[in-house]
Amino acid sequence: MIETKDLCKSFGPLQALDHVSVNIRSGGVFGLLGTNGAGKSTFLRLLSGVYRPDSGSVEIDGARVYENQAVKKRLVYVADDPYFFPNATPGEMADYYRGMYPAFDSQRFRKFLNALHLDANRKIAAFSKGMKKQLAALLALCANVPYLYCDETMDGLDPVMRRTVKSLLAEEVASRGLTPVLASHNLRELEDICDHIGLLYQGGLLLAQELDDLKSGLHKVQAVFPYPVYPRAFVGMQLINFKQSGRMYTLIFRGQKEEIRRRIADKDPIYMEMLPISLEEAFIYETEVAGYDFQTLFL
Amino acid sequence: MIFKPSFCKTLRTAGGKPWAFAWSFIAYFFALPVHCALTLQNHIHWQKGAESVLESEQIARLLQELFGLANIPTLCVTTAGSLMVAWAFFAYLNDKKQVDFYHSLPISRGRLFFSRSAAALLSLWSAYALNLLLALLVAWIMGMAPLMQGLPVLTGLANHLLFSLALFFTAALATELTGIQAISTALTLFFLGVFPSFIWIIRKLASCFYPNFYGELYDWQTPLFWSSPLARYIQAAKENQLLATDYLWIGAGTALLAAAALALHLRRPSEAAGRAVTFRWAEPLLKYIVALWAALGLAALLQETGGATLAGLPYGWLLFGCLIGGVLACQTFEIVLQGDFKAYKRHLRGLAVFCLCLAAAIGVNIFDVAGFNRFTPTLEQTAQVEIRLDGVASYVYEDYIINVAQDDFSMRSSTPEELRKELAQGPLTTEEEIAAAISIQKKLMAAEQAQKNQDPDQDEDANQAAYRQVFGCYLLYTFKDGSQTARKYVNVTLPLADIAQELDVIYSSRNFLDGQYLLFQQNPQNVRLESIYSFVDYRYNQWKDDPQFLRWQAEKLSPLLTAFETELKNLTPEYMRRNQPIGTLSFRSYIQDIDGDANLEQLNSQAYVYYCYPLYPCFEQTLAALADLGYDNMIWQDRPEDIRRIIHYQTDDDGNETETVYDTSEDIARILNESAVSDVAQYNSFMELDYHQYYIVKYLDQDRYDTTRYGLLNPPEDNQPASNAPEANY
Repeated sequence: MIETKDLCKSFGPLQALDHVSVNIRSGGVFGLLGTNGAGKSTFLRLLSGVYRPDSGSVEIDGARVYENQAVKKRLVYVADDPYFFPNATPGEMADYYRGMYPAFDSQRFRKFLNALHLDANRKIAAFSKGMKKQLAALLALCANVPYLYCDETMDGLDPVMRRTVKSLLAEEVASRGLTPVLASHNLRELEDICDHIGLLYQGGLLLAQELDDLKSGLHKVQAVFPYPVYPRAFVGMQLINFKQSGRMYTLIFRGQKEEIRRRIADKDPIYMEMLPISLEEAFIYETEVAGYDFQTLFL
Repeated sequence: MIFKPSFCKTLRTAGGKPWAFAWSFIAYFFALPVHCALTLQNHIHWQKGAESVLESEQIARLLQELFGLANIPTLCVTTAGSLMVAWAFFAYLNDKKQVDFYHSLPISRGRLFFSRSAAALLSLWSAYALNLLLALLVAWIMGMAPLMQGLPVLTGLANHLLFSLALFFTAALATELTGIQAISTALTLFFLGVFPSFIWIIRKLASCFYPNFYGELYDWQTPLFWSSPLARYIQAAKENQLLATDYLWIGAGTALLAAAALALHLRRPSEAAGRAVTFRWAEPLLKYIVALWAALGLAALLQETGGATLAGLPYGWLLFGCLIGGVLACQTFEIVLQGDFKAYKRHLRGLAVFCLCLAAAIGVNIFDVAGFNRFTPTLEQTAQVEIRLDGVASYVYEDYIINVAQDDFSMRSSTPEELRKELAQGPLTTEEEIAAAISIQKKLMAAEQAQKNQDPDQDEDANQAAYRQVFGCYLLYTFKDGSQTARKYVNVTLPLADIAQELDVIYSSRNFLDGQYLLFQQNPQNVRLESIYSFVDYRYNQWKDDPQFLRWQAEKLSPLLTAFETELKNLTPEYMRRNQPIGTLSFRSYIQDIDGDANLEQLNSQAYVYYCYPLYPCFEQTLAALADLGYDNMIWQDRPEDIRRIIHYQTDDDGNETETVYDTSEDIARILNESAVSDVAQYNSFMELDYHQYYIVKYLDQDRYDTTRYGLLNPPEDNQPASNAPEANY
């Protein structure tokens, strides 16, 4: 398990991370969302021991990460713009990784290279940006470590390759309990793979929740009432969002589904329907509750 | 077996840089095998064969030149290579992508540091070792097998590698402190040069603020050479050796540099890549060191080139340089630090405080708050004085002077210790002598003050006259409490007549004379004559520099030395003031006992102290002793029959030169008759002559070579041109 407590990091006057506390359980896929400059890369560098925290702590399975080789042997960090040795080939990089990570699976690496049509003996410098990202992801996956941090790794991959990488990740999670931490500014990219989401905004963690909890706790109701209703009519219920369009009301509640259905029914609606909520909507409402405008966070 | 994979793995973490090895190999190839081949070829050429180089001294010299510290190409390659590999292998710290990569790997930063250092140094040193083997092979092929000596070769290798380590860690330290490669390079060069240059600057400024500061008595070289690995390396190459204590100190210094670089490496924030200075605490430290260096350096430079005043303001150039250097350096540093030109407005308060401190320090020195320049000791507090005088043996004639450095003791003493030892040879200890020395110092101070107050543009003639009566004095006081202080006065306008009484007292001191003419205190068995130098012609160019002089042993030299000592010590200041030397005698006193049968090469290779004393016309016994030795022609004896022609040059006041050629025997004889006579004319003709008018004689010397001599013409009586003589232009 990855655990951060009151993690702070600043660069001069800029507070990049401000008291971030989060628990990332092993065997799950953690999605780290945030706009550019929200602190995602800083958070991943702290998780991977590149940066030393100003205050607070980062621990993996109860051991600090910074300057701890034993812990760092259990993680791989794939940077947004991955580094390869000048003039190196994928094969040479694999050799280097094998030296660093004893469990590196060379055979699997060759297999993946062939599957993705990457030449093991071609200079990496001649690769496209997307190919370099694929290679970085493959090297990290084949290192056979329990923790994998990817910073905007899907960015720059074509849809097919994105899907391939996601399925590879899913396979690793299922087969050996890999814990990927995926940072992205694209909510939809993470929606179908993550089971735990954290949202960073201006260095602070707005929320960190299980995806299912996030969705299941929120309920969307569309209803038509024979009389005008106002938010105060729902006192005693956790009304998150209230919208009116003619006589149609769209209401978002937090709480138990049946309880919400019963309470609405008590108000004699002409029409009432409970609708499923998307992750994006869940985010919109959760961030609005926290006092942020989702549009400014992600657009 | 356990070590090998672990070591290889450590090296692998550094990433490969084959170009570093390739560069080092090519550079060392020229510095070692090629240099070796060229040197040996040259040597064989001059020695007319390989066999004759087998003498042990030559082998030792060649070993030093080819494989030791004296191999300058190797010094250059090692210096450049050490810095280059340090910059190259630690450059990853300045690249964010690489820092992310390496610092996320399961390698400790300490191991990264060592692996990078090892990889860098191995790529340099392996190239060195391979080329060393090639150089030895070249020596063997060229028939110089005696050069293949393990110990000297390995010692040379170890010496170069030791300095290589020191230079490497200096560059590493600079790279750890900075996050941009260009700044790392600049800081490395700054580290290598700043402390030696600080010492130079301080010495310059000391001589500027305190003109009477006798800096030569203090050891500046030791701190200068120890203040930077590069400076020490150059000195070691110059001296061609390292002592056991040197190894200790250089090793300790290198260890300190390595420890500092490692400590910074372990603490260096990964996010510092791309920042000008990686540690916040280092910013003000570096900034004010740079600012102080720039301020004082520019001050010293402008004072040196601009002169003593700027728009009439004393120390104007110095103050201007200090201000401009300080402000520019401080604010440029801020701009570089922030990467923003607008940052020139940052930390103005700090700049103001810095300028105030600098101004205060300069003010303290300008106004001589400590009273250094005004200091004169009292008779009561002084135990003894060592004094050397410059200009006493100068001949003043009407409006010009021939200044003869009768014995340039300061040139002879290459180190402060030697100079102090030299000065200490003839102390003045009686009250009368000490009072005379103090009196001379006071008169020199007054004369200096008068010189300062004089408007340099007002009275050119007076200045010219003053220039012709310059006098110098070097004093080292020892006080009764054991402390010492020294002063020097150089080129002070002070007619010797003004200190005639004091000079009489000092020159009557046997102690002083013994110290003044130290040659005669040396073991006569170790004294050899080096040259006889006669001033008989215009250019002082009649050297009698016979290398065989050196082989004259004590028995042969004894009459000359005895006569010379007696007559030198009988000289009075008044006589020296009124009479010009006719030449000089130069001697060597060997530091170690020399073999009576020593050959010239041995005599030239052994350490000695050089002495040069003047010959005066009154030195009858000395001249007779020289004549006995076969050197009686201290006068240039023109033989009209040898002279082919005389070219007479005249230069008018505007610098226009005309020449007339005389080639008849009558003209030649007449001109020779008219060339010179005075009280000392039998020895020196030209002192009576106007230097604007001289003649060149083309004649055949004894070997029948065409030779050119210079002479001066005697002024005609009553300023009238002699009949049929070249017209004089006074």
